[in-house]
Amino acid sequence: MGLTLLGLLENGPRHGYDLKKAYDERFGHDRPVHYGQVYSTLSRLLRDGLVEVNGVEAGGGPDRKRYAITSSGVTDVHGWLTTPEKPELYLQNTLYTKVVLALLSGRVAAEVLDIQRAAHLRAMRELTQRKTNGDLADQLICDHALFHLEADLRWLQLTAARLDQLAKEISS
Amino acid sequence: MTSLNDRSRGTVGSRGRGPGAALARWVGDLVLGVRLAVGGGRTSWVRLALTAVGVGLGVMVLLAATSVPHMLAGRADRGNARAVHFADEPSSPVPGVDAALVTQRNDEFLGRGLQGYLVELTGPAAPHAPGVSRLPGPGEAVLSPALVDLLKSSDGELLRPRFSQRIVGTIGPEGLTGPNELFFYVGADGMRSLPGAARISSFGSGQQSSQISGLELLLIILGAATFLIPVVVFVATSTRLAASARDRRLAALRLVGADGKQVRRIAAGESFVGAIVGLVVGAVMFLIAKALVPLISVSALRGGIFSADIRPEWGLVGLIIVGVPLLSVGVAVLSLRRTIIEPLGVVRRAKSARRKLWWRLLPVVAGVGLLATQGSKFANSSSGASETPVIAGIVLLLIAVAVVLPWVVERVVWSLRGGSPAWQLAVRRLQLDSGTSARVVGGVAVVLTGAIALQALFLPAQADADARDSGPVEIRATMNGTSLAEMDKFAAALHGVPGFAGAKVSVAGTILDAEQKYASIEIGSCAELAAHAPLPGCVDGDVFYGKAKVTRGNGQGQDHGQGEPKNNHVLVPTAGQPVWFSGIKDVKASTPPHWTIPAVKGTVQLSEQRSDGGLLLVTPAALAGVRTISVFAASNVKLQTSDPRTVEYARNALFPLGWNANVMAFNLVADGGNSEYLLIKRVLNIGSVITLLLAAASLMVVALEQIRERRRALAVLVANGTQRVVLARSLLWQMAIPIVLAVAIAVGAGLGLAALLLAVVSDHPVLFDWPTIGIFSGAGLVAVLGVTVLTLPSLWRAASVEGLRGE
Amino acid sequence: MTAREHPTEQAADGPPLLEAQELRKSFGATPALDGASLRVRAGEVLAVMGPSGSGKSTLLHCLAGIMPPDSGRVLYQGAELSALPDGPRSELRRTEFGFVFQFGQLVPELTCLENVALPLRLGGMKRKEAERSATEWLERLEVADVAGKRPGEASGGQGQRVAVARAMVTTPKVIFADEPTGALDTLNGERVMQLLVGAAKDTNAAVVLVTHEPRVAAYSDREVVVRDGKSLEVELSR
Ligand SMILES: Nc1ncnc2c1ncn2[C@@H]1O[C@H](COP(=O)(O)OP(=O)(O)O)[C@@H](O)[C@H]1O
Ligand SMILES: [Mg+2]
Repeated sequence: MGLTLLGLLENGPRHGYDLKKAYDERFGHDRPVHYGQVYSTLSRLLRDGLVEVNGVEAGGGPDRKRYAITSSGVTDVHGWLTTPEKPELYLQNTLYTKVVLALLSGRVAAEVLDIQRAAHLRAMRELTQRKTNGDLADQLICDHALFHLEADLRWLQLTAARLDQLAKEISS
Repeated sequence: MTSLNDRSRGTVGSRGRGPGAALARWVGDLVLGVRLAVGGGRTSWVRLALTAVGVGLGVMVLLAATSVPHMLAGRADRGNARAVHFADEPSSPVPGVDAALVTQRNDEFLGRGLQGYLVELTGPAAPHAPGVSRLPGPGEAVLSPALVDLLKSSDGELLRPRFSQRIVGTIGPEGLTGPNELFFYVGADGMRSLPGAARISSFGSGQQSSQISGLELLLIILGAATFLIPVVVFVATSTRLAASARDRRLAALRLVGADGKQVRRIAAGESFVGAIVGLVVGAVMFLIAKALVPLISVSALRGGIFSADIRPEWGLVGLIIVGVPLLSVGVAVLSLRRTIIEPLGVVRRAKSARRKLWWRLLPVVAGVGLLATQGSKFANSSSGASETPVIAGIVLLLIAVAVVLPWVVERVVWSLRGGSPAWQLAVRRLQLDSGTSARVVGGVAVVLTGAIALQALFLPAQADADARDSGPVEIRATMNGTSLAEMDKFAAALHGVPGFAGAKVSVAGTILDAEQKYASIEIGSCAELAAHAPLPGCVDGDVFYGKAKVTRGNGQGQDHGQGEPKNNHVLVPTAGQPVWFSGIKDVKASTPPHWTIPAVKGTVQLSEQRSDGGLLLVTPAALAGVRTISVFAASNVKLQTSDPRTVEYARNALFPLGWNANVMAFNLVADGGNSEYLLIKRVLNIGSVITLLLAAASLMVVALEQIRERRRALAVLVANGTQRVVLARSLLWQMAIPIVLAVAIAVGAGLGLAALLLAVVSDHPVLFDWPTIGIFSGAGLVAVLGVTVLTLPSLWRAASVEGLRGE
Repeated sequence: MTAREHPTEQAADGPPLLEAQELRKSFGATPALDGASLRVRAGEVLAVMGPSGSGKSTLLHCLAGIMPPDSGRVLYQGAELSALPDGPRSELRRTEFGFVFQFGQLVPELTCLENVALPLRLGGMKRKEAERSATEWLERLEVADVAGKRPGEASGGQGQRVAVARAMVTTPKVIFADEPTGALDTLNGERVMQLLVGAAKDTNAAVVLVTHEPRVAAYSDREVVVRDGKSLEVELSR
């Protein structure tokens, strides 16, 4: 959140309230952030010397301060953007646990997978719907989620195809 | 495609140095081509098989064509070996051989020629006749196997009365021109007095075959070019089957980095395989055809062809063995231009550049030029020197048809638009690749052009034959005899045949004096003789001399004086002159005269012209008491019936009179062939038909190949609910459009060629036989229809669900 | 919570437009379909999923009347499809159904415009009129610029869109799409799916969408899974 706000400030100084609006517009999606959260983050950034107060509106209240990014703030944003995110590994996926448990307890594991597949597809369907009606930003965000879901779904299909093998290994 | 790339990498990538490496690269490319031809699974095998069959058919026809000279020579040699030289003076005796008296008989049975000899042996050491182990004695006969078979069959029933002799042997192949020839040796006696009999000590004549005239030679050249050029076109087309698929494959190779030369070498290797397999297939088909040929008894083949007579000319065989692979490789390499220049367009099936016209017109210009400038020399000389330009001109013009046609097809097809979906599918298909169909159809066009030109050339020769054919059946019955009683029997027998009751029989002969001067006599009652001239006061026993009508300017020699013959071989009869009857062997001044001319009652003026100046009109009683006589009875009857058996009834009625009686039917002559034209025409027509069939077969092969290539598109169309009839119609259009264009061009070019040849080379008037032209053109169209129908099953198969599955 | 095999009847939607009952089909010894059933309602997009070789295409061919099943019935608007003779069945395919395949479905020698106009012309429409509708559809699918080109000269994505236009031009009631994006990259695949589904929704056409790609199947309203020739559908409670 802090880095995101810094990134938004890179384009020019802003009031705290403008900052919240810009954030909501671009990244908030369905859930707008609380102003308090923005304010507390800004004060942390101020403390760390990453932003500075650029001016106060005359006759304004406490939230009429204008913030600007400092050069160390710019350095931080640059560092963040050029550092790759650590790929997340889901080795202890709950789905895998469910399948193994179903096999161990003698249930029909395929059913677990089928239901999960249907659920995944339903989620994908909703995302596709939203994507179709949304703008480019929506499309990119939905696609990101879709690809993730698709990856899961592919795993589900593959697992379904290998259930017999898995059952053999577990029972041995 | 990946496997292709893998394969090609070995050759495409390696770029060694030095001649060894270059050679290795060469061989590598060729081998890759070979592997492309055979290594692509079922598809390549099917394509290779189609190519092999196509090339094979062509090779078979070429081999057959090279066998023709041997075949004709063999027939002529055997014909000459059994020929008899009918000279007036007897041939010099051969020691140890007892001479035989021989006379030739030409008969016919239901339109089939029937020939043979009557022989009378004078001793045990008879001359040897080829294929005959023992010449027959009286009451015996030696027949050809085909004649024996015919007599045994139910068809031969009407013929049996004529061969009642004991059959003592059959004629071996060395004594026959063909396996189905009807030939006989019949033993006879009393031939000493038979007119026209020869005394021989050996069979065979050293006779040369008849000289071929300029026009005939022209016909032969035109005919041979007509049906050999399409065969070559056909072979070239067959090696380029599936050209578009092959081009795409080669273009893909080009895209992965093969250079132009390599692509050419690969293509060469690929088409080389097809050509070689085709040669083998062709040789096998030729051997099969050779074995089957004796079974064919088309009357046009005149007695059929011995299998052994079909021997290819080895030099020409060598030419075929070298030429066919060269041709196919050459065509494959030459047609790669586009693949090499714009491989991407080939792979993506983009439009190709338009064909160029100018070089296609070169053969037209050259051909017309040659014929126009050199043709008249040909007409004026009979030496061989002027033949080459004329042959070259004809061949160039025929080639021009094949070469110009693709351009015309392309232009026309590009200008077509609209129409029904079927039409549109066909037109668009042709627009994308009209080359293959145009090439095949080019063969058809050449055949038609040649055939039409031939028709026009034949027409002058045929004109009078046609006039005769259109009339009613004319029958001529003749008989040689040695007594007037025989003549009476002849007349009686003839008058007994239905339809011959009132037939007029004239009896004629020739008399010679001691100096071998001759005169014609006609014997009949006063009433019969009065047909020639009024005979005042005629009674039986009278003799009149009729002088021929005098004409001017025909240079025949009777245009001087009052019919006084200038010809000093002609005898002017005078009373008391001793004469001999001509036609009897051993006529010598030493033998006593046969007859002494009685007083001539009067000289009358004949209403006809005669080359011998006159005719002695004799009533029977004037010949009473003459013991040796030789006369000839003839009756011409026009029959209104078209029943061919009428003639056979007449022949059987006259049979008891012996072989001296003969009946000929004039427009039933199915293979009379006294005209060389008829034979040449027949052979060429057969050739044209074969070529047309060949072209149809190749059209079919091309169609099958195209269907195979478009399987998926067809299957999708059917899945989409396209009516099958639309697909069938589109296939029909696709074949019909080029064919119609080919026929149109062929008619134009054929008529033009004929007009040119007739006007320049020979001085015959230009006449066209439209019905025949129609038949030839129709045959082309029927071929298309037939091919379409035959192709439909594979169209349905291709358009099934199978086609929807991935490639 | 779950219903295996056949979905429960949804009476509210009325009778299905197209229904397969217990289809079986073998190719020699290979069973391709082994009791597959499904229903398609008017205007819905049904995804048929499953691993490759499971019998999806065979099921589609049987449903569309391109291929008769060995046993079982296909009902279109209540009438049995396999009982129809070839002629009317072809006509049905031409007028009521549309097809989009994975590749190679356009007639290579016709231009794209002519390809799209072809189904109309086969139905007897005049060329001008057919080409006018075809142009409209090409515009709608954003490929008006390839109208005069041959399929070989268009890109894969453009070709598939032309194919969709051809499937839609007769305003069919059912569109059968067999891996319509199988030969395309993601972006082109998405675009083709959006256009296909959008056009189908606009004309209230049902779509039978055979695919093994989840992202493509996500364009559907409902999915059926084919596994070893058997169909299977999962109903999730909300
Ligand atoms: N025409 C055919 N001949 C033989 N086997 C076929 C034919 N069509 C399909 N099959 C077989 O039927 C099975 C199902 O094929 P298909 O329906 O194409 O599967 P999918 O479309 O799901 O990949 C496969 O095993 C395939 O090999
Ligand atoms: Mg499939």
